[in-house]
Amino acid sequence: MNTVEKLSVLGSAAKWDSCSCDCVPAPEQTENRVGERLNCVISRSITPEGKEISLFKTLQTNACSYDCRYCTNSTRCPNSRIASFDGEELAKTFMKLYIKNYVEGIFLSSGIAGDPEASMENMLSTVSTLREKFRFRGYIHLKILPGAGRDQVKQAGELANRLSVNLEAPNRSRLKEVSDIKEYRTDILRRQRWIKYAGARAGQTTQLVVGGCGESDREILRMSRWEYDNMLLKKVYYSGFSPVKGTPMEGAEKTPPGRELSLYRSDFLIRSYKYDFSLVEGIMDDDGMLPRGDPKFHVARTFLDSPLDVNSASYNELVMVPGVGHLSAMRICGMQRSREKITSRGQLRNIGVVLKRAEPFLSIGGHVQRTLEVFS
Amino acid sequence: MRRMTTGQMVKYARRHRDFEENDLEFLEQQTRGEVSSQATGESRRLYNMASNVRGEFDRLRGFLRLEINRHGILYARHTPEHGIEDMLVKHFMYRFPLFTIVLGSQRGTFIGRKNNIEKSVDSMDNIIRMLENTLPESRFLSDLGDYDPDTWKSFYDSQLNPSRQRKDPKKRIALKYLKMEGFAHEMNRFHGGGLTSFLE
Repeated sequence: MNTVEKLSVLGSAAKWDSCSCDCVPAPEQTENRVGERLNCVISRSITPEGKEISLFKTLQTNACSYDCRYCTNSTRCPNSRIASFDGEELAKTFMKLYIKNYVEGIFLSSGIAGDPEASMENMLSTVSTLREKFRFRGYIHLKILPGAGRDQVKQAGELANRLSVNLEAPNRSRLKEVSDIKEYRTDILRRQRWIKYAGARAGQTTQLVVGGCGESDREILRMSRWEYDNMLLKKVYYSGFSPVKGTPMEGAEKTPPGRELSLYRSDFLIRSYKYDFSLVEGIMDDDGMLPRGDPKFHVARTFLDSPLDVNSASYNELVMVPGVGHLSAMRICGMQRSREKITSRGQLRNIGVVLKRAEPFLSIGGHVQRTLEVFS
Repeated sequence: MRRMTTGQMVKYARRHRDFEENDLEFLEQQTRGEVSSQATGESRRLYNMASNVRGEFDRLRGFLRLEINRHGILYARHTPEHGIEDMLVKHFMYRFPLFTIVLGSQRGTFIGRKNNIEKSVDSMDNIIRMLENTLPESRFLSDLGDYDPDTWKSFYDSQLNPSRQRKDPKKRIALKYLKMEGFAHEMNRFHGGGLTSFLE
């Protein structure tokens, strides 16, 4: 197989992994380098379905001795086309695309062909070639393979900007429904702990497959919160399960995109707005599933007993209101501290509050603006 | 995009194709607060001009494809609407300090090397020929080897995920990309179908 054919196979296998490219500024300003890290996300291309490509995403090899039921590379799918890059070949392919300004950085993962440490070593050799031989100083997101060695994780932390190891499932029993070989605690959680101490500049992320093993939203979000608190994750990605032909799960139901969206929104409330988990849990049904629509709206409807007085509400109360974000809440609190009263809707609009969404939950001078839709 | 200061607004607005010096006369009559909060029609016009320039720069630094010359020259030909060629050259000079950057546009040819940006009225092809006579072949680029044009197509096609295909891609793709010159061409070239089917 030539390089272009390998790219077709290995690029396609890597597309299921979610990532974004929020870079950190380059700490070094030497001239003897190729590339730098921008402090913003730059797209390089748009696919017809509207997906923005900024990173060169590929596997080192799709040969894999693990048995994940949803994956075409697993031992349960013996008829897949197998391809492998060696370190130098992959590094050159990426550098040419980078210099031509097609991609912003590289996202590298791999199947586990036999020994995980050997597979991890191949990936590290690609990344070392990029950093040392080609003096690449741009963005590298490197997957840590379940079963990789501690020294390898440490080395990865020195070479890559971001590291990640996929959780796939929210707990051990759910993972067992997907794979008999992967061990939740030793293969995955332990590696996450090592990554936490490895010191990658852009930190670590992880990915959960949603809908692959019957888990509820409660299980997923509970695990996400634990991850943010204990593993200091930057972000959890939620990848909706899509059955792939040729895998044991090809007949399973596809996860609706709305479920993925609800999880991301709830995750944002927990991670950025610091909502207590009990608030989000309080809007779930008996099966632990989130309702359709905006979780913030559901939380406000469930937990705000009466409209908030905008001139006396605390920051934590204000961010519970749909249409009031972190910045608007800070500005309102700033006005409270300087004893300025908010007396009109126009003032709230100028602050940045989205009135259409916030009005039913706010009271200005004792008055509440409501429409009939609120009662439906 | 980060919020612009008044100075940045003026700096970017000056590059707009429709900018005239008397656009700035109003600044002398208005307070800083009026200008930065776009309280007047003139300040909003200035902001819109600056925003258009910055938007074009952001799009082009993401989507301008560079060609590689074995003498260590990265070059591209484009016709930006606003005068941002030197900004683009500066951006790529910082990104690729080992190479010489050449950008050909309707306003001339811009050359970036050794922390200097020059503008020439000569054609881009002539400039590159002149540079080839003075610059040695780049060992870095010869180590990389030749570029196969099918590489990008192969990777781009591999990222397509039919299970994520939406019935309303027009809504999914930001308008700023749909409006870009060359975007329709890229979509058509790689996927055979016309972009118009997405826009209907």
